Amino acid sequence: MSEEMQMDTLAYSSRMLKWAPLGKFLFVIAVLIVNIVTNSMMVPFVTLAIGLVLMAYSTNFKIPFFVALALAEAVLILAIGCGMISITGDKADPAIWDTNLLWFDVYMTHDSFNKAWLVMFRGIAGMAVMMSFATSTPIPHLSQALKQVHMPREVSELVVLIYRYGFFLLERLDAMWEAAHCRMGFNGFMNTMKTTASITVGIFTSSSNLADKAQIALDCRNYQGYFPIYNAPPKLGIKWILVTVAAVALIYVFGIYTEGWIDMTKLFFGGSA
Amino acid sequence: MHIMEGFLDPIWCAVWFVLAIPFVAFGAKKVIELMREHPEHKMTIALAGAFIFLLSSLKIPSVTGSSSHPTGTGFSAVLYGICATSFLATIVLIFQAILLAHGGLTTLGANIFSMGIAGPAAGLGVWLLLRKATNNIPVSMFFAALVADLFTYVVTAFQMTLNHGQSVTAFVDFMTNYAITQIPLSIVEGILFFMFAMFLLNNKPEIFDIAAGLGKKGSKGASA
Repeated sequence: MSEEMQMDTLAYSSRMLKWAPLGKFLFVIAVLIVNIVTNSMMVPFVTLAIGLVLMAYSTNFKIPFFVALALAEAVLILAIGCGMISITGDKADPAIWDTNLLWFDVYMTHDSFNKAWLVMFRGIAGMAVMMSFATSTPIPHLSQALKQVHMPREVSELVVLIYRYGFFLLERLDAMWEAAHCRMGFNGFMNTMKTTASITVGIFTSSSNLADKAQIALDCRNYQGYFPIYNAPPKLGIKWILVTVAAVALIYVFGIYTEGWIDMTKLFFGGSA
Repeated sequence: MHIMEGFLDPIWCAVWFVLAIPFVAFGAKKVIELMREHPEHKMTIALAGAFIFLLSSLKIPSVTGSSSHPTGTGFSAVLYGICATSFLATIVLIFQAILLAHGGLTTLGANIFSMGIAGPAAGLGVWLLLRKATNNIPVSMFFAALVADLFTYVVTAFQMTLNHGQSVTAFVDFMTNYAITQIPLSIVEGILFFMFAMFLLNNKPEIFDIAAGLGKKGSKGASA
């Protein structure tokens, strides 16, 4: 099954499919914003819990393999980024680690170390919340829902088309990649570059041909410049706004109240820091 | 290089959104106008966006041992123009954030600015300069892709520094960290698009006559 099909199948089988896409989107955006507003390390844990509960309810934590790989890569990028944040402390503050490591000027302070952990937790929590949305909302539903906020029809259609054709081209890319691999096309650096470039041109040319064919297919179906959709997703109601406002208010107050509860520097370096 | 979800404070998220919105809005306006006046170009524009999405999924070898992916925005800006690129890149970045957790929704403005506006603008500038100075399309493409990629990382490092550190040392540290992978990657991406341009010149040379045509209403430049 293609990657797009895996995501679509998952989203269409979600228990949250019937929930208003815009409501879910509003909730996710609001939670992501409140996740970064306070400096409490407890807030990302609450956000993570919300994301995990929603994912469990939506799909029993099922995610396609390629998404799991992407998530693992994202966590690695997060860890590297947070490592960088931890060593770029304010020179006005006392250092808990001050050295030159390879070509880096390492200046780790109490604040920078805590900030790095806070960002790490925020990132992981944010990923969980975004994933709960992705696995419960097919992109066509979201794009249709955008019309409710008066997004031009062309934008919502373009979103769906890019999503569909993006994964379609990815499938072709995979097939070409596999074929080139069988022909020893990735044997050595220059060979790899030549093969990758020729595959890219192949995809580019075929995407151009595909556009022409798709246009002819549309014209044959009496295309008048828009795609009619007869099965509109549920609308954003007042319930969603109330739930979102309540959740944000509760998390914000909780964040203010719990600021400073967790000190990662003390956990790692004890009372000496 | 995507800035991940949670990396930026709210104030910087807002600042980068405010800076990115005019470009995206202008790009959206142009693309919508084009689609309304020429509905027959809808598929072509969609495929252009899909191609950007595909380019960012393309794994190319990295000197540091792992593999990485091109931003593809330099090439995109050369063919489609900056505004259309920023609009299409916005859609692609939203997909990447939601579906693959690469980037984020609160950091979307910063990512649009670095990957969809600043990088492509630098790449397009170099392309236009070199096209005036020399008639060599592959060499121009090499430098456009290289500069677009490098400038994206410089802007990303700047964005990170403004939020974390706000000192020259912090900027140097972020730049150094990115340089380990991104300078070789930019060169590799330059080589890739150099070869890509050579293949295109053999197979579809007319594409360079109408480069950046998507930004012009009704132009056949949308035939990418």
